Amino acid sequence: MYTSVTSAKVTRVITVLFCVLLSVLMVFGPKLLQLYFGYLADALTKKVLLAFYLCCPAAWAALISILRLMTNIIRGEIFTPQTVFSMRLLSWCCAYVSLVCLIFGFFWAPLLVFALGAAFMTLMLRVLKSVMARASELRAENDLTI
Amino acid sequence: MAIVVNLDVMLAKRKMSSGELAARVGITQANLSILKTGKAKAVRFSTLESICEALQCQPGDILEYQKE
Repeated sequence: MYTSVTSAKVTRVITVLFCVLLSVLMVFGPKLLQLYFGYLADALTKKVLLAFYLCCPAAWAALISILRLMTNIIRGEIFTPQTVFSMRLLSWCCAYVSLVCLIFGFFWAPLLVFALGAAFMTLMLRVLKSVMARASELRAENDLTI
Repeated sequence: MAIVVNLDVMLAKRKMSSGELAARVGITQANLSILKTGKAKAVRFSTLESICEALQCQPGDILEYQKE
C-alpha cells in the first residue's frame, strides 16, 4: 500500500540521487560547460561556472534540509520546530539561488528564467513555512492541554 | 504565569498522592506533572471537573490568578 511514509521514502531516495548528480556536476561541470559554450567566449563560460559554484552551497544546504525533513516525516515528527527550520532554510536557499541567477542573468539571459523559478519557489516555501509554523504552535498547544 | 495551579496544596490538604489523583482523574502522571508545574497551556473542563470531584473542592481552590 502506498502510504505517506512510502512517499517520503521515495522522496528521500530521489534526494540522494540529486546529491549524487550535484556531486557529479561539481566535478565535471567545467568540462560540460566548455562543451556547451565551446563556440562562445571563454569569459561567459567562466561567469556561468561561477554562478553554478556560487549556487552549490545553497543546493547542498537545500538537499540536506530535504533529507532531514523526510527523515522527520518518516519518524512521524511533522509539526515540529525542526520542520519549520528546515522549510525556512529551504526558502532562504531558493532566495539565494534566485539572487545569484538574477545577477548573472545579465551576462547570460537564460539564468533569468532560473531566477524567476527560484523566486516563485521561495514564495511558495514561505507560505508553506508559515502554515507549518502555525500548525507546530497549535500542536504544542494541544499537547499541553490537559 | 498569571494563573497559578495550587494542586500541590490541595493534594496535601486531602493527604492524597499524585499517582492516586492521576488514577482517579484518568490522566497520566506525566500530564498531572505538566499541570502541577504550570507548564500546561489549557485545562479541559472535563479534567477540571474530575479533579474537583476527586479532591472534593472548587475550581477556585486549584486555580488562582496572580498579577505578573
